[in-house]
This record gives sequence, structure tokens and C-alpha cells, in this order.
Amino acid sequence: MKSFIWLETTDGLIQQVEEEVAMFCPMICREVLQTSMGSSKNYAIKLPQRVNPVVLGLILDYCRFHQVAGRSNKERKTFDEKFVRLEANKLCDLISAADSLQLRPLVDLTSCAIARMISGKTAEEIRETFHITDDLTENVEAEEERVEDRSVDDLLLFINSGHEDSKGVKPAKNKKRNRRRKHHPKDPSPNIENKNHYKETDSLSSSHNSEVEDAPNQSINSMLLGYASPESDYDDELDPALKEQLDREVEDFAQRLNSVWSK
Amino acid sequence: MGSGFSSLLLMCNGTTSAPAAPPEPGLGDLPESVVGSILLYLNPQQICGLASLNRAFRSASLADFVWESKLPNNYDLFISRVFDNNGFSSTLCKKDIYARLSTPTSIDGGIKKVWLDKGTGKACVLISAIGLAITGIDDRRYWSWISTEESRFCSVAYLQQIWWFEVDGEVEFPFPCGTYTLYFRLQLGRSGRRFGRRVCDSDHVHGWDIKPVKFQLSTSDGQKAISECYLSDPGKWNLYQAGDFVVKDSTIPMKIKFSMMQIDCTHTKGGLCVDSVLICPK
Repeated sequence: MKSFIWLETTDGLIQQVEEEVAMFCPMICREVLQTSMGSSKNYAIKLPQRVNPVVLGLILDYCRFHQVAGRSNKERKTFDEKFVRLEANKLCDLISAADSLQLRPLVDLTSCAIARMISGKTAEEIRETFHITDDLTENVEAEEERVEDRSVDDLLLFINSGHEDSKGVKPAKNKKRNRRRKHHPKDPSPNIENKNHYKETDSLSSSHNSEVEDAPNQSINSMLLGYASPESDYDDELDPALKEQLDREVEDFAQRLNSVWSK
Repeated sequence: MGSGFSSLLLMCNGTTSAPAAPPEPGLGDLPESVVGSILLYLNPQQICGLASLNRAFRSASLADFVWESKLPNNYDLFISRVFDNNGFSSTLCKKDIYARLSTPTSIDGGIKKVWLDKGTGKACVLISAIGLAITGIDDRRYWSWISTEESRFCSVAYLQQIWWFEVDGEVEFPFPCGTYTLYFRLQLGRSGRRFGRRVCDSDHVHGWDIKPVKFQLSTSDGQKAISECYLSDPGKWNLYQAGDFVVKDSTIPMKIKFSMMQIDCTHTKGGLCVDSVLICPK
């Protein structure tokens, strides 16, 4: 007498599966042993959200083949190679479902297949082929917009408090300059993580063809690193002559504004 | 038609009450841990290239478990040999460790440079001519040192002329498992710069076409390789292969002895620049 395990997918579909096949999945195995679920239709094991009926069918085929002990390695390998000859979206479904069922061998198998599919393609090409939205740069753009708003606020503050002592206003101007400085892709500030990563990308992905090639790269890197520190100190040590000129400009502007407002 | 349409409406109404089927997951919806599994099968350059794909790929490309798999098995031995336990922060994430080890580092007083090959994670060792035992190097009639920007070590040994040409060397290093090739980096002719352009003086190049040069290597575990080759192609730096060796046990540093010689004393040879010896993965 064969025993069956009852499984329910998120769409409400309940099906029974041979026990030895279902128990090949660690997640189902654990559910059965810990909660004693799955023994009847009313107590069907609820499968994770990422497992839809179609992909469940595929996974059960995989389990059904591999749970048989007597197969040779060659047989298993041949089966696996044929099994992953799927189109990209199906593979993504499969890896997602296998991961949620904790079926590590299938995750590895599909990872390898997907890796083969995307290897050799640039990020742009992959985005086009697989219709992936670039949520990375969206984030950076949003942050840049926020920064723009802040600098407008600063400017307004500066204009409104123009009749006060100019010294009080200067820090705001410095802050603006400092923020603009930080946008250069050298400092490790959170706003430009993406750009910093591109720099890392370059250093790790440049090829190691001839030995002499690296010397100029290194010198460029050290040059870049050299510029980072003076910049962060820049605002604290303004050239005194420049400071004076700035003071004068600020006072000028404040006076002109006052005359406009008073009118 | 009408009944079909109304039944479609019914279906639509029906599905709003039941839990909605999840949208078809694509590559862009995979969680970070799953993406990490995919990245395990790609090489470091590809991983960095994919980091800009989307947020999940970016987080996965920074994951320690991905980079741990790219580092060689004996990378802690590598670090202790190269960094002498100081100046190497143990708080670096695995990706930063990989990046640091992939940049050339000078060891043994600056006469050697080592780094990890970015694509394979295996070691590369470059030994300067300064670190080699060159017969007659102290005799100014035969050898001299030229400073040049064409060498990573900024100077190369130049042979004017000699009868007994022999260069020996040895190195001991914890190579990760794999197959490696040993090369001698040589140039026939003396290069320099004139009026901002590179020129190579090949007037004193002689004697290399009479008999070939013999390159040899041997390892501490008994591997040997010999090759013979005529030096040719003056005016540019060439890598002359001495042979291959295989590292099976990465826990024991491998000791390699190598040499090149042309000791037929019936003729002189000269006009040769010796820069370095390079060991890199095959």
C-alpha cells in the first residue's frame, strides 16, 4: 500500500504525492516530522508562496527521479542536463521554488544553468533580455533630488537671513560647497555608493594581460587616493584671501537684497 | 459572447476574494541568497559586472560566502607569508580581502612581487633579476644594471657579452592548488628613450642564434621540466617558458628551483636584458 502526502499550493490547489517523492524535499520532510501534517486532504501541507503548481510538477519530477537509490552518477547527470534545458523565466521560477523548499541540489543545478545563461552578457544586455528594472540608479537619483532640494532650502535661508551678520551665513555656503564636493566619485559617502562600486568594478574587472600594464593603473589609483583627503579638509582651511573676498561678496549681496526688500 | 464575457467577469470577481497568484518571478525578483548561489558559478570579473544589475545582485555581489569561494583554500597562509601578520586588517570583508590580495604586493625586501590572479584566484609570483643568482653579475665587463620604466622593479640586468651565461634562482611560496608555468622575461637589445620615443639598440646582440638557451625548473616534490629555445625577436620583451609544475597540496609551501643557461664557451653572447622570472597559473 503506497502512502501519500497531501500538498497545497497558494492558489488553493491540493494534490497528493507519493510519500518518498515528497519527503525528498527537506522542507516537506520537516513539516511532516515536526507537525505531522500532510496525512490527509484536510491537513495538507501549505507550500511556500513561491511554489506554483506548474513548477511544483517540475520539482516533483526531479525528486521522483533522484530519490531512487540505484541510479548511477552518469544517469543522474544526464537527467540533470536535460532537466535544466528550460527557458530563462522557467529557470527563475524553478530556482525560487527550489530555494523555498530547501532543495539544495536543485538550487545548485539551476544556479549553474542560469549562470551559464547570463555569463558573457553585460548588465545592460541582461536587463533587456530579462526585463529587469534598475532599482539601483533609481535610488541614487532619488537621493540626488533630495540633495538638490536641500541646497535650494539653504539658498532660501541664506537669502532670508541676508541682513544678519555675514559670518552667520557663511557656514551654509560652505555646507553647500562641501556637499557638492562629495558628489565627486572618490569619497566613500553613502550617496555615491553606486559610483564607488563602479570604481571597484574597474579595479577588479580590468584584465591582467601584460605585466607593465598594472604600473600605470596603480599610479592612477594612488593619484585618486591622494586627492581624497585634502578635499575633506578643504572647507575648514579656506585661503584667507579667498575668505575675505567671500565675506565682501556676501555683504554686498545682503545689502542689495535689503534694498530690494525694503522697497 | 455575452455569456463568455459575464463568466469572465465572474472569474475576475472570484479571484479577487481568493489569494492572488504571485506574479511570475523573473531574474530581477530573485532574493539575494538565491542570486548568491548563481554568482558562485561566475568568475570575479563577471560578479563585479553584474553588481550594477539591480539591488539584489548588488547585495549578493558583496556577500562573504560568494567571495570566500573565490579565495584560494590556503589564503590565510598566503596572507601570513605576504603580510607578515601586520598591516593586514582582519576586519575586512571577503571581497575586500580578495581585492587586496589581487593587487601586487612586494615581499622579501622588494625583490619579489606577489598577487592573486583576478580570474582564477591562483597566485602569481614575479622575481626581480636582483633576486636571481647571475654568474658574473659583479663583473662590469660582462653585466651592468640599467634603470628602466619597462620593468616593474625599475631596473634590469644588461649583459654586454659573456661566454658562460647562467642565471639561477629559487623561490618558496604557498601556492594554491593548480598548474603553474614559469617564464623568464627577457629582451634582446637595450631599450631607452630618445626624443620621447622608445628606441632599442640591438647592435650588441650576438651569439643567440648559434646554440639554444636551456631553461630548467625543478620542485621540492620532484617535478622537473626542461626546455630549449633560441632567443629571437630583438627589440621587445618576451616570456620564455621554462616549464610547468603542479601544486597538489596547498598547505605546504612549494619550493621551486629554476635556471637558464647557455654555457657553450666556444662563442660569446650578449646584448640581452634580463628583467624577471614570472610564475603564473596556466
